[in-house]
Amino acid sequence: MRSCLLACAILFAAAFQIIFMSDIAWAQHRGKPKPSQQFRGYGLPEPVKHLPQKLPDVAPVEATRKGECREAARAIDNLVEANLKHLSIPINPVADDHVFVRRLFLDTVGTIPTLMETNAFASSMEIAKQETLIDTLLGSHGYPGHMLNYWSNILRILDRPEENILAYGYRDWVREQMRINRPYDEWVYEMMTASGKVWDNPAVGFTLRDNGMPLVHVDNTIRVFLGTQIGCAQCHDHPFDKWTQKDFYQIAAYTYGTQTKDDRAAAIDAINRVQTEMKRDDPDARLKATVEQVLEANLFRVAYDASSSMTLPHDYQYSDAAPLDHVDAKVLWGSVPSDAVDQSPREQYARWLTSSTNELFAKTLANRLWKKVMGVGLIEPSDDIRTDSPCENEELLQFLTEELVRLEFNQKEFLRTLFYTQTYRRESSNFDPSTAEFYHYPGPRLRRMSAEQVWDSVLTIATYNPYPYSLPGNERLRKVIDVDLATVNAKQAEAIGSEFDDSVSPAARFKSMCSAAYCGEILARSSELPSPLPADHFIRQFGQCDRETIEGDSTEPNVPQILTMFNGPFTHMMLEEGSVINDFLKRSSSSRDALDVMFLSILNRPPTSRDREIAMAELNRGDAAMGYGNVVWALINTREFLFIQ
Amino acid sequence: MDRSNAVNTRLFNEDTSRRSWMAAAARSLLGVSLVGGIGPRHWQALAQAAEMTPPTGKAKSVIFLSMTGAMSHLETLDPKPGTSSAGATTAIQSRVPGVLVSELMPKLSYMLNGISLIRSLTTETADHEQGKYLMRTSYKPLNSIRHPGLGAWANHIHERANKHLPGNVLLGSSAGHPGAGFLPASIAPVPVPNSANGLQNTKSPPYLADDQFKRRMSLASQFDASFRSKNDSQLIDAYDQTVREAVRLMGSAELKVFDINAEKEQIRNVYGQTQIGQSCLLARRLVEKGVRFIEVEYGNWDHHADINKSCPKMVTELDNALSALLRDLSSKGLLDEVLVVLSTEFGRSPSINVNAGRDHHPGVFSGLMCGAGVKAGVFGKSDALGGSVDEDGVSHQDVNATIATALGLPLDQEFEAPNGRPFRICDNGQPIQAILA
Repeated sequence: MRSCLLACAILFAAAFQIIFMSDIAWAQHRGKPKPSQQFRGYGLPEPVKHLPQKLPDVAPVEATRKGECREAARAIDNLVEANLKHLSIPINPVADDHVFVRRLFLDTVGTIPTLMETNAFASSMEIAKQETLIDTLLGSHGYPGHMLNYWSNILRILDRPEENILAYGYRDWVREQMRINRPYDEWVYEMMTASGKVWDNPAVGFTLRDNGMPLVHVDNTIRVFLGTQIGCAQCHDHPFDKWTQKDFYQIAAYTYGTQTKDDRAAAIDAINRVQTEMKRDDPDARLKATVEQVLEANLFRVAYDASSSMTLPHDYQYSDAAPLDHVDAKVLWGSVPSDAVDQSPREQYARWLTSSTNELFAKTLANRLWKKVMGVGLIEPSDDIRTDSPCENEELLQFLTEELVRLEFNQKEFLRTLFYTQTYRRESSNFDPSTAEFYHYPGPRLRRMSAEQVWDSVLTIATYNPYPYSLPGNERLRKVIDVDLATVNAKQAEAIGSEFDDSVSPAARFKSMCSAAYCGEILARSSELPSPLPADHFIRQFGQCDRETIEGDSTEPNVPQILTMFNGPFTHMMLEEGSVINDFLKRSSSSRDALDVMFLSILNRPPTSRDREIAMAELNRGDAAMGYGNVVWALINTREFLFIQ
Repeated sequence: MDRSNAVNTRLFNEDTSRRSWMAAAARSLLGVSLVGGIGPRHWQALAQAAEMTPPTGKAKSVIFLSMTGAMSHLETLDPKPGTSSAGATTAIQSRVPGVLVSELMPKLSYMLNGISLIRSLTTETADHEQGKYLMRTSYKPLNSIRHPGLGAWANHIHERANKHLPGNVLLGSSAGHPGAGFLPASIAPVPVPNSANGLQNTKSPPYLADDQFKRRMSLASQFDASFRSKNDSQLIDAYDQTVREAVRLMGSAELKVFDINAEKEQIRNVYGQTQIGQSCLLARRLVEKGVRFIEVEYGNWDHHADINKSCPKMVTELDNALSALLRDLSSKGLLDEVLVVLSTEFGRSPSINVNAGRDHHPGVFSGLMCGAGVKAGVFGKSDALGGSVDEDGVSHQDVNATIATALGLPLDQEFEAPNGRPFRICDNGQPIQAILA
């Protein structure tokens, strides 16, 4: 028996060759690049085939706070369990190690664990191994990227909100806040008050995101951070909530003096001056489009002028004020913290919004992060929290809110607390929101992976390094394109234009990414890919938000995503020479081992005895390599792969 | 601005045959209780019920062009030259005496005598997500339920005309499309985000022998057994249905309909080598094959700033694409049975803002319909400045009711959603009888 299995393993390489030879025909058929002659597949790009060089350190959890987190987790469990008991709903049993490790990886670092990571956890005899793994993962390099994806959907972060706003640095900045675990109130305050050009102060990207739409920006800001929707009141009193149109203008008055763009005349003057100068030397000289783009990009600068006066709209229809009346700034509830009253209105507004005494600021995040971890918010939708919104467990939400304030908005320690709960450790349950009932958390909710999690998990199965390139940062961008429009001359402008093209332009960035291209896909973590992605990209097919609507992501099925899983290049990618799973398969000593490799790499569990029978029957059909291909294909096309139990 | 009056004056004169059909259908359909979710069995029962002669809608297919981001009526179909609302848009005399449209729409302007132009659309929300949802479903978004889009309803009531192709296609990709709502996932629109590329990954690699794919599918379902025995959810069911649709499509003899490269370069150029152009061309290929409902998305029309910089190009692209589509449908004899509709979530403000753009404006805006026998002419009127409805206000629900009537869908029938609440296809929308033939 054993020798037969060994023979199978030896047959691998030869049989793979046969599969991939026929891929050439496939490549031609699909118009994809042809593999080179001596190669057996398309070839994985070199940078993904080796473990990454040193990645930046990520802020670890605080060792001294472990006890506090345990205590708070217990308190949460007590509240959840008391509620379940009251409702006579049974508590789910504790999930097995394999389910837990997969779930935890996906929830903290955005991908399934590798074979080794799965086995390491399952075989560990340590009593508190769950807590150890939680602490490790929250301080590992997958965490900032996963949290960046999370916030990118909420903040609708785009690389270029407009063609000439080059806001790559803003996304990097948010990633950095996650890496260093900056307190939530601090980074939100910084975004709301930042001034300057995006390469000098990337936090201005938040304001530039809604360039030209100052009132919409106020609406979005209040909705995202305070879970309150005042948008209707921009045009008329809110029909179902208490907000009046006057309330809207009063809160908008705080940031009314925020400018996002210098007078365009400055760029036009500069362009004309440069052009005239160029034509002096050569009458046929033409300014390159990228030079114009660079000059225009220099116009985007957030500046605040406190003396601007907000007025009501010309068609204001209520009796408490007249159209075009001046509006004094006034917060929606509570008051501006007393130590902020001497600051500019823009700063007062940010202080009020992010203050620990502004209960909705903490409550909105507490509810959001609870939803992120358990799958359903205590209040839904999480960005529409009204005084009369039904809450599944008032006491629990109150506790979570206070805990977040006690932790001084330390997002990581708060998440750590939630992951420490027994509630999180239990088996999941299905919840159907259309029943219009509450979910009571007998365990976390059964969910489909997010689009980013599907993609990143597929990469984990195949690649050693999902961070295969590094893109030019903000510093580099500033050095290349920052220019004084009042003095720029033709020589400077042309030099800037060509350096821009070569190093930091969208095209140059894309070229760097292509070092990791495989069959037209760039094999890098979702957090390292452009935002937004093209609408027909794998991640968009699986429901990634277009970053136009707040949290517009979806986990619904559609035909193209199924077709991609069936027929896209992903099964191939996994069976390429030098892929992670293929290396393990080659090292496996028997088909039995190989089956373990496939199941543990893809579903993060060993095969059941029934799975073994089915898979062995497939492998014993004769063509071993084809058999392995079929098993790998089948495993990534299960519902089990796509869902987080 | 009093919409309710406008609607009441043209309350529909339902003919009796349609009423009686509906009564019969309602009896039959309501016999099928949908409480507890719409499973495949219920769906089958509904499909059988629908085999009765439906009311005579003239439209076999619908192409719904949704101008996402809120298209300015003042830059397109309802310019107000010589007023403070005009902006930089110049108007031209169309082929219909006295009716002006934007100078950037010369082709549609010439065809206007065959089009039903609606200049009195009005809605209740100026929020993009809510507005688009309302446009597509006739309902405001609710947290506890997702309503079906009109394309899903059309495919729920009628059998597929072409068994080999999906009956509901979305040429676009915007987040937040309601899809099939609470109806089966099998009739959710199949999204094609890039019409020029068509539908991707429809073929197994050629080295796979014919029986391989079946074997792979069977392996997958066997490996899935233990997960399935522990977990049961509507989303998993929706995945199963979608997988079946994907398999069916892969085996379809009609797949090449998605490949617009099969069209002559000249034809592609007439539509315009643009997103909207290629989508309109693909839409025509799909209706030729009997696809019931195609939504073509085109955006972003959200011109809050510098409207004169970005809007004109889009208007021109739209003019080229839509005029080519109408002419092509007409020359192929399809315009009698295909209803082409253009709408948007809301309009843009008559006043130009400080950023040289126009802000959201739900008060009044424009759309159009053409084909399937709808009567040409101008329906409804905006006021002098294009700020509110002057005559015959039309809601999104009314537009949907008009389309639904043309398709022969039962407007008055109540359908029970999984949460037990009754819904009608177009809520309280009333068809615009004046333009229905």
